[in-house]
Amino acid sequence: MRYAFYPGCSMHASGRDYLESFMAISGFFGIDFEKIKEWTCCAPIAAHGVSRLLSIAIPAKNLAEVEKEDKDEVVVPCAACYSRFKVASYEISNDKDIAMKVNDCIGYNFKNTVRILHPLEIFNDIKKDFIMKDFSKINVVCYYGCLLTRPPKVKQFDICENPRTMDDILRELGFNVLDWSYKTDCCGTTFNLTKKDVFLRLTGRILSEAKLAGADIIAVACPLCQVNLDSYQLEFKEPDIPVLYFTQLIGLAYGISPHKLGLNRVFVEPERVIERCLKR
Amino acid sequence: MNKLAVQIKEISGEDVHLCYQCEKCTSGCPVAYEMELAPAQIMHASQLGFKKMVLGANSIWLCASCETCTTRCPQGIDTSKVMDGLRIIARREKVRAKIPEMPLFYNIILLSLRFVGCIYEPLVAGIMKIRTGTLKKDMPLAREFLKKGKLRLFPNFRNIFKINSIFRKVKKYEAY
Repeated sequence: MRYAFYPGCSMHASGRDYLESFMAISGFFGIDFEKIKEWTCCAPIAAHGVSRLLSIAIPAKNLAEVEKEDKDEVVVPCAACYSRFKVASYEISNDKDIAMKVNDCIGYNFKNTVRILHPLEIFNDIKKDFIMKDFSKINVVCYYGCLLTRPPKVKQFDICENPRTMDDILRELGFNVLDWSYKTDCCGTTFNLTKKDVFLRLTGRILSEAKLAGADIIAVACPLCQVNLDSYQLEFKEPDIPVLYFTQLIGLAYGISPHKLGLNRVFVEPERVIERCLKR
Repeated sequence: MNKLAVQIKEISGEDVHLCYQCEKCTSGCPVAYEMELAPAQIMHASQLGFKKMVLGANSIWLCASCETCTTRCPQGIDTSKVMDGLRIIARREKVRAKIPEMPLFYNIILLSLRFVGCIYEPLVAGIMKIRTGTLKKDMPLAREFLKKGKLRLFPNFRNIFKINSIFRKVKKYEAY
């Protein structure tokens, strides 16, 4: 199977470990990717608060590039990009007027046939024979964040208030996945830069709830959530809950070297925590 | 329909008059505690056409676009889109924002998109930190990012032309 692949800006900056682990495990699943040649930024965060057309036209331009390359499916690892793509596709198919304007803006007759996929939707064929280590002593909570599931009519990804895709994958791999109520709560997004007190409250609550649930590790699927939850702990005296991408956990279970998975880039060092758990 | 409700309908396609004040949006909202007008109150004030009150509240800038309200609204109103619409109206009519950092943040992101071709974190975070006076305090954090290789210092400028051509064409239809 060969997918088109949209990397997105953050995968080359704060989400580098996501890209590294994503690439490292794709071999295990026998999935081949081809990067979209002419990709651009998807204009998240600000564009939809400035101009609706702008926030739809820029992701549509990228989807149009996938169409031009004759591919039907594109994999978008960053949850923010994934969200912008899905919204653009939904709006274009439901609003003829905006579809016409978008076609004019991107200079292409966009057919809107491309399926947009998150890695959670393709890395689910777990090969049990390859699992190298027993991780049943590690307690993991899965954190999905806002952008993957909401709003359900647009994203159509799992059950929006209680998604289980990531839980199922990690449980299959042997992790002890715990249930908790903050799977899809907001991590504080970019309030880190604009309104710090709100950021501290939202991020702090997710971390303390994860701790209350008894988690050793938080698994995430969004670069912004990872950076927020991870870097927030630098202000603690003893940062203690590593925030890892689900791709990194898959890689660990398959025995891929931590360096290849980018574990050295995570602020709260996971090695120590994992060792401590395995000694239990 | 009052003028504000018509404007919202035009920009976001949402009809605020569908709201019957069940307050599910307010109960689910993670930032409602900080808002001067909770999401349900924003809807009510919009129904009544209290434009100054709505656009002057800090609520429209506090919305994190997490879309919990949109997901739970029994009337199917995309509340988050209404908030986006209100931000767009406030921007077009140059209403002074209660949280000035937010429009500034938007401007810096647009600037970064147009002149760097992507969201260039050192620029965006740097300007915001200077503006909020936390640059010095957060320097160690920036160093950590650099050490872990999570800060991209040399962006790829090749996308500038493509992005700018879309920006130019959008301007034909919508002011931003």
